[in-house]
Amino acid sequence: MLRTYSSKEHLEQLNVAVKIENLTVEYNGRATLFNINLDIPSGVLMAVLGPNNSGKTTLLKTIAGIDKPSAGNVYIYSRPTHALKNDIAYVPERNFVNWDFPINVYDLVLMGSYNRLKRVEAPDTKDKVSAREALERMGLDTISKKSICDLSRGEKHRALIARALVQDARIYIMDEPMIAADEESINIIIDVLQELRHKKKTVIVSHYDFVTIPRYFDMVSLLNVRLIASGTTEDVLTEENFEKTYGMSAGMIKNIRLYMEESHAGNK
Amino acid sequence: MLEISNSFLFQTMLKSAVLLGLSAGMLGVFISYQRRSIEINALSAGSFVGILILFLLSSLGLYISPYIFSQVDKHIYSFTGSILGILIMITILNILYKTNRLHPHIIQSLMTAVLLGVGITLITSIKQAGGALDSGIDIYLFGETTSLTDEEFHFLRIITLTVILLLLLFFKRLRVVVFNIDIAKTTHFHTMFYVHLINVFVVCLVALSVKLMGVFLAVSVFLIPAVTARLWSNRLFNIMLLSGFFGGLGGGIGAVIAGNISHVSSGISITIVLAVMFFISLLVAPKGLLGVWIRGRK
Repeated sequence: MLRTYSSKEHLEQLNVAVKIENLTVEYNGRATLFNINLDIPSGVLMAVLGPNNSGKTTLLKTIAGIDKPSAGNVYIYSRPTHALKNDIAYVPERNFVNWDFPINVYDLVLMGSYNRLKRVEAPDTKDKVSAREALERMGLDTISKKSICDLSRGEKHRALIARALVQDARIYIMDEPMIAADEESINIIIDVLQELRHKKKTVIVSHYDFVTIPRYFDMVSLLNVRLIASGTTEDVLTEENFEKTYGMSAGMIKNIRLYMEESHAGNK
Repeated sequence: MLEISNSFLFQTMLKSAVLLGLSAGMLGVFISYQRRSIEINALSAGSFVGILILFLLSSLGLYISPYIFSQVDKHIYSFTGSILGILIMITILNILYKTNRLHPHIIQSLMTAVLLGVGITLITSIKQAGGALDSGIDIYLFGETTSLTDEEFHFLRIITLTVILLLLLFFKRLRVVVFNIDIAKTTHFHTMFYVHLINVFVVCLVALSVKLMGVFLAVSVFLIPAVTARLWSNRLFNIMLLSGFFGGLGGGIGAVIAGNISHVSSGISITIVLAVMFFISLLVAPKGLLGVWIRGRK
């Protein structure tokens, strides 16, 4: 059974895992993120939602320390991102991975242990056991010797998440981990996200499907270069915020809202 | 044949081609997965123009101050020019990447074409002018292993063996960096150190290969072995070793052919041998046409 934190008070009681202050990120002189201020509590599942080119991937990459802010700061547990790299596991969007790379699923997942290894040290038995467990958890143990180029879309998502699980980080950042995946893969991924939250990990996920957000996530941030709104799914997923984020006509938003309500009713 | 094979010059030529083939083959695997194949062409063209410009400047220097410039070995100009040409090319490419939205491959192809045009114009001018500089300038078109001096051979040996050793030593981290730079950046190791390490290897090996393989064929010693090795294995480490093996073997056989048949440049003979190995692999390797056909029948 899926459970989410629904109350604002509950979220406020949690420690802040990620603190973003006045964050602006520019590429070639164009702001992809502008003046973002956001606190992400520890141990929550948070979705980032927004239209194409709204800066979702940039936000995730900046939190993970991959992209550098043009202005502002990102703190992870009160320390700058670059000081805490072992605590962040990043799952890139499937399309940004070179799937022709000659590596099998097991070796890809074992890469998650490299963070603990010295420059020329090889993974030990403990790392290999950890990789096997992650493969089993993601339902990939039977295809561990398969080349990654032969995986289905859902299996590719699961393999990338399995690599992140081996890293055993405190914060998991995932870019569209369920997009175009099959139902079996989505169910496994959702279960793993819930498990991570149960283990008090903070999980930040960019997600395309706003209909399922209230079911899967505790928090949601709406983004369109600027931060439109952030908080509990109930507070944030309003018609007004959707219009600000997507610039849709009122009628279209109403239809979406109706669809969402029906979907919610169906879940209850 | 035996007499030639035992000569010091031939031994040097053979060792140079094998070492360059081995190291460039191993490095080529990482380059191909970084999708930098066309960039190697652009860097070779930059190196070519760099060499020619430095040759022209040195001739000007020789005219102004014959005493100072006659003391400097011509080969120093060639290697310095090569490195400078590559570095300037890298700078130009980086500026172009940042200032427009064209795909990097288009920019690289464009710069290759422009610089080859400039290079051919310069080489024609130098040949028409004649004089001391004219001699041996043709080697940069299709390469010549016999053109290496003792000092250059020692330098090549140090560079290639260092590249091979470091690729083996840092394989694990280089694999993450080449697989996905974003994942690498979230690890504790210094990603940019490994990115720059590959770049330094590329600059050094391209500078060496332009002389041995020529500007047009320098890319072949990096990429043909890597593509051939991919047909034999699915694992990066095995592919890297196989690519080094194919590169070294192709370099060695190519050098023997170039050493025994006059008027055949080493760049051409090495490239032909590498191409033959590729086409044989394409037929008989597990991931080649025969392998695919057998799997299809099963």
